[in-house]
Parts: sequence; structure tokens; C-alpha cells
Amino acid sequence: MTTPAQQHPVPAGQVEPWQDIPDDYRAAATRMIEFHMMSEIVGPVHEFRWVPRAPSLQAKLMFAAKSQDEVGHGLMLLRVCEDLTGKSRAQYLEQILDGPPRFMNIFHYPWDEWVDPAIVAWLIDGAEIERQATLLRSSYGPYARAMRKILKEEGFHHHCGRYLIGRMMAGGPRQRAAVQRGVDRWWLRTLAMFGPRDENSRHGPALMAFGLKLARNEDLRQSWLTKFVPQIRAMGLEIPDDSLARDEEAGQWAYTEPDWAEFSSLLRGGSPVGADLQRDLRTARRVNDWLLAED
Amino acid sequence: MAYLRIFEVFRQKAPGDAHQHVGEVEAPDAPAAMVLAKEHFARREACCSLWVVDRADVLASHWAPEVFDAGRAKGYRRSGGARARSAGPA
Ligand SMILES: [Fe+2]
Ligand SMILES: [Fe+2]
Repeated sequence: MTTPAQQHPVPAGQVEPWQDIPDDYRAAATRMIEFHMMSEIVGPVHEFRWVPRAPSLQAKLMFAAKSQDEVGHGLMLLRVCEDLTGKSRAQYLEQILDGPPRFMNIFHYPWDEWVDPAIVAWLIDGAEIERQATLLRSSYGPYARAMRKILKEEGFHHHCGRYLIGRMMAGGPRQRAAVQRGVDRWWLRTLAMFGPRDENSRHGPALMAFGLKLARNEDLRQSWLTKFVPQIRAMGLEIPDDSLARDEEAGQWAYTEPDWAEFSSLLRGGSPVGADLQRDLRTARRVNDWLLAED
Repeated sequence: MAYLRIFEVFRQKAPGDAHQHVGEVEAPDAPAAMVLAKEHFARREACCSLWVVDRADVLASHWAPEVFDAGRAKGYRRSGGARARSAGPA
């Protein structure tokens, strides 16, 4: 059996768009970065829906800033994709607005209560930091450079989330119960967000071999658990998983597996919630068309 | 959107620093690119000045990286200074 590294010779050093890029490297980079790009653009629709409903002026300012950041991440990555594939901004907008829903699992669930955006900022932006910190060394130069700005801003999002959850936990029993409901709802989705283990991951090993991706999904999930299990408990919250335990010797967490069938069906086929986000973006595009019209 | 052009953005963090490349924006012209660059790259991080440059105006070197390795043997640049006298007559 040949290893992925033998199948895919890794280009030496950092790869730049003006170099000769092997076709399979370009295809792998495109798949990964387009997925990240679309997530950053579609995801914040959830967030800016919460700006008018945020419970305080400070929370409102935080979410206005956070959703502006996320769209900015999307625009940066859109530039990276354009140079990588030669597709135009117009082609990409069509793909984002009308194309297949290729974005993160977490955006396919409803964000119905205030605790939803707050939990996502705390736990999932925190999870993104785990992954993106490794991507600073990604072999595709423009992607690694974009990550510097993105990562800094994700740090701000995580801190906002932690602050807002802390405020709710300092409130009354109903607020604390709402946060617990949030953790119960988002726990498995967050674990799933890192993606399946290597042996079940179709593209992971090739991305690692190309140096596009620097850490395995499972390793990222483990280091997130190490950081966040104590953080969640210190907040006075319970983790809804009886089999969660750390094997100190192996340095590994045991946990209940997320529903991987649901995960892949969301990533492949989308959801009504995800379709609604794309529909909102199409409406925004139509409303602002006069501004973009060529004359 | 064929009228959009790519502008390279350079940011100076503090007076005395060099302007450093931080990314790109797409805009119909330079003044619009400047507004986008300000929103995009100067909203969170320190900044005291921005440059935007139309990518079409950038001349990028076409040489292979090895070309820049040429002429590394520059021992003559280390002339030894004070040691030159104690080294005796040439
Ligand atoms: Fe982001
Ligand atoms: Fe974020």
C-alpha cells in the first residue's frame, strides 16, 4: 500500500499562486479553502440576525463587530480562492448564493435562543482557533497569511462568547438553565465540527500529505477537549456525556461519538436552515444590486 | 462585476514602521479600494497609514529563487577592521 505522501509529492516549502502548482495539489487546496470561505460568508447570517435582538448594547456591539469580522474573513478567503482557481468574484458569488451548500455543520442548525450565538462564539470560535492556529503553517502561502488576521479576530469572538455566557451564568436560574440547554444542544455538534477521524476522512490524509492541513481532526478535537472541558465545568455547567473521561496515561479523552451520518449528510446535502441562509444572502444581493450595477 | 480590480494593501502600523503588505481588496478604483482597505485592515489592528496599489501596476520578478542565491561568497565584506594591522604586512 502506498502512503498518501508517496501518492502526492509535497511541493517544497511554501506554495505561491504564481508558481507551477501540481493539479492534485490545486484541487485539494481549492476544496479546503472554498469550504472555509463559504462557511465564513454564510455563517454570519445567523449572527447578524441576532444583532437587533441582542440583550444589551454591549452584546449588540459585540455581534455587529463579530459578524463584520466573519464576512471580512470570507472576503479575504474569496481573494485567496480567486487567485488559486482563476474563477472571478462574480462566479464565486453565484456559487455561494445558488450553489451546493458546502459549509460547516454548525450553520445547519437553528439558532433560536440568545444562548445559541453566545455558545457558538464561546465553544465553536474556540474550536476554530484550535484548527486555525495550526493553519498558520499551511503550505499554501496566501492561505497561511490570511490566517494571521483571521486567527486574531477569532480570539476576540471566543472572548466575547465567554463573557456573554459568564454574564448569563451570573444571572438567575432561568438564565443558567438556558445556558445548560445550550451546552446540551451544541456539545456533539461541536465535537463533530472537527470532522471524522483520519481513517474515516476522505480528504484528510491527502491534505496532510500536501501540508495544506497540519493537524489531524482527532488531535485537534483532543486538544480542544483538554482546554474546554475544564472551562465549561468552571463556568458551573455540566457536559452532557456520561462516557467523557480522560485517560491520563494515554493523554486522550474518551467521549460519545457524534452522529457522523448526520454530519456527512449536512455537509453533502445541506439542510432547510442552511438553505434559508443562502436565501437571505440572495435577498441581500438583490436589494443592493443597484449599487453594484455597471453603467 | 468585470469592473472590479484587485488592489494590494500595505499598512503602516506606527510612525517609523515600514508599510507592510497585509492583503488585497477588490474595488472599481483606488479611492474605493482605500475605503475598503480601511474597513478591512485598519479596524482592529494598529494603523497610521495605508497604501493601495493596483495589482496591474506591480512588476513582479520572474527569476527562479536560486537566482537570488548567487554571489553569497562575500568574504571581502568582512575586512577584519582592527585585526588588519596586527595581521602584519600584506
Ligand atoms: Fe471567522
Ligand atoms: Fe469567528
